[in-house]
Amino acid sequence: MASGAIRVLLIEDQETDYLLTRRMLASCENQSFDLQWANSWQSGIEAIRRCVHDVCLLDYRIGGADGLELLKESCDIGCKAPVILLTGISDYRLDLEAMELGAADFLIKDKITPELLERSIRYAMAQSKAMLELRRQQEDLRASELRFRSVVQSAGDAIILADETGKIVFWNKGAETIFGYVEDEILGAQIETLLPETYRAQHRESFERFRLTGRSQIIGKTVELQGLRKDQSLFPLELSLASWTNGTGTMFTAIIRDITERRGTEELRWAKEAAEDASHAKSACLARMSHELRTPLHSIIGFTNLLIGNKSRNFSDQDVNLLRRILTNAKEQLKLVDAVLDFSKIEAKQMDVEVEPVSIDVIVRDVVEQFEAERRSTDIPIVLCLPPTVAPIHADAQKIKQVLMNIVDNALKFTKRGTVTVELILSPGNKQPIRIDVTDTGVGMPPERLNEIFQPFHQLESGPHHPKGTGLGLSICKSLCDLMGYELQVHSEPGRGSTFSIVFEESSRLPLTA
Amino acid sequence: MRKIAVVDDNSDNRLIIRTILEDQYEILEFSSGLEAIEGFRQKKPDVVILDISLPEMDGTEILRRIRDDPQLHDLPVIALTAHAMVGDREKYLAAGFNDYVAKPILDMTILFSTIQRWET
Repeated sequence: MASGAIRVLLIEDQETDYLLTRRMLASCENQSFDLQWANSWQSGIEAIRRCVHDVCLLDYRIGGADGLELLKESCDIGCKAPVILLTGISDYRLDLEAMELGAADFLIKDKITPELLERSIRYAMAQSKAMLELRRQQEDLRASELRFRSVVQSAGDAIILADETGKIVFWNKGAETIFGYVEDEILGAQIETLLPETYRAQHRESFERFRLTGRSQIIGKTVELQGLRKDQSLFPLELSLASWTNGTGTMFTAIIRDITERRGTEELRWAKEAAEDASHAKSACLARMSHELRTPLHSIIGFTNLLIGNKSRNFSDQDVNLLRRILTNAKEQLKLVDAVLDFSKIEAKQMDVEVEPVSIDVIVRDVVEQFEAERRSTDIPIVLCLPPTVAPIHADAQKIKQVLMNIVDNALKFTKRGTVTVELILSPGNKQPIRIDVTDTGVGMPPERLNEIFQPFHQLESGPHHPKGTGLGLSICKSLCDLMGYELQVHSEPGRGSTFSIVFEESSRLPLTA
Repeated sequence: MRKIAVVDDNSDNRLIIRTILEDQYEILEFSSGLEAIEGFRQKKPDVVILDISLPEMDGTEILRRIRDDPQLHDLPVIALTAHAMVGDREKYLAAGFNDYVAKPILDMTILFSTIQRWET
């Protein structure tokens, strides 16, 4: 095929007509043609199917068939090339019919001249090109429209269009979800339908002002308002309003978001911040109280210690005894201060657990040694049972120590004869601690009272054999164990003694191995 | 005789420390931060016992100024405070105090042993 040549398909059963056409095309000076001849309906269809021609010349009578039929079929199989119908006779109705079916031109065979044919082909091709371009643009437009429609429809926000009278002309799925109206119900309604009564007057006023002056306080901005759903319920919304002008007038686009959830989150955040402030204030108050309560005790204990330690003053034994009583009471007072503050701290949820790898055996030994250091000769002995190797666990050493101190202190208080045994029990597999048992041979407790002892301010009936205390110690121990995820267990038999166990949480240990 | 500086706005507290320590140390008493820092520069104590809750300039701030001062920065400073809730010791050690003693001082020997750790 020559470059620049127009590729012409001729569907024509008369060889003489073919030759004639060929001659005419060849005689065109300004344009070269590359002619292919199909001499039957079938070969014509096949040639059309290949879509390699720029133009198609179609004889009206081909074999026994009607050229219009072939024209229809060629359109059906997607012929892109323009079709010029060639006919032996002039027939206006046939001409119109061919035009309807999409023929580019209608030429009478015996009136065809080379110039006429060349021009008809040229015009047909230009027209076809324009048509194809138009169709492509329409398709693009349709695709674009579809794309935008999908975006608008799939948006979670309500996208609503209103005309310059405030009438709703477009309503997306998001709007349906947010307001509860389906498209058919709401199209044509006034936009103020979506506003509660209290906003409507204001809405009308600003709408009117915009119409008269072109000025608006909310167009181009995002504002928060209340919306009215179909079920007449109110909800907070965020509105972005825009206006634009097209050929038919001003249009308004409203993008609306239901901010109920966001409001909820904001309120939650405010509440959380307020709670954190309050909690911070509680913490600060407890720390201040602790400081203020300790300061005078510091003076009392300090001065009393100085007097007792000062040999040069020659105090009588009686005097020293009285001073010691002051000291004992002050120390008791200090324990009370600590217990009350710990209790308040737990109640105020100000107690934090700080976990790090710790060796429980070290803690147990420390506690027992501390008691041993203060031990008087009349006190009962503490028996310490520690396994040789203990694997570390993640725990809050400070709090475990505090609980253990308290339990051992209690055991010593309530035991007049025998021993207090502190034993660390390990998992046989991984050598990690399972629990600490503190067993005494003291007064013991009846089973029905075992739950009460962990209640704050509770103490079993006092008597000559029952030393006093704050009634907070075990309650604090229980709370601390709860906080750390441990269990504080007690087994007891009246007259035989009690065992208190700190049972470590499962997750702080590796699984047992056989 | 080695010099121990006591910074505390409460005269009871200064008296207690003075009475406990004065047989073995020379005691320098200060009741405020500014007075103390000036005094440290002049009298060069061996160890400082510093209260935390002081009016105007608190103990943590005084410590910061000591550490920032080229003359004083390596002075051993012991926090002596009634801030004695769980975690306070760790808090003050982390803040840069060399040591920590809680008020009330239940056992006077603790004060001696703490000072002895730092007086070299």
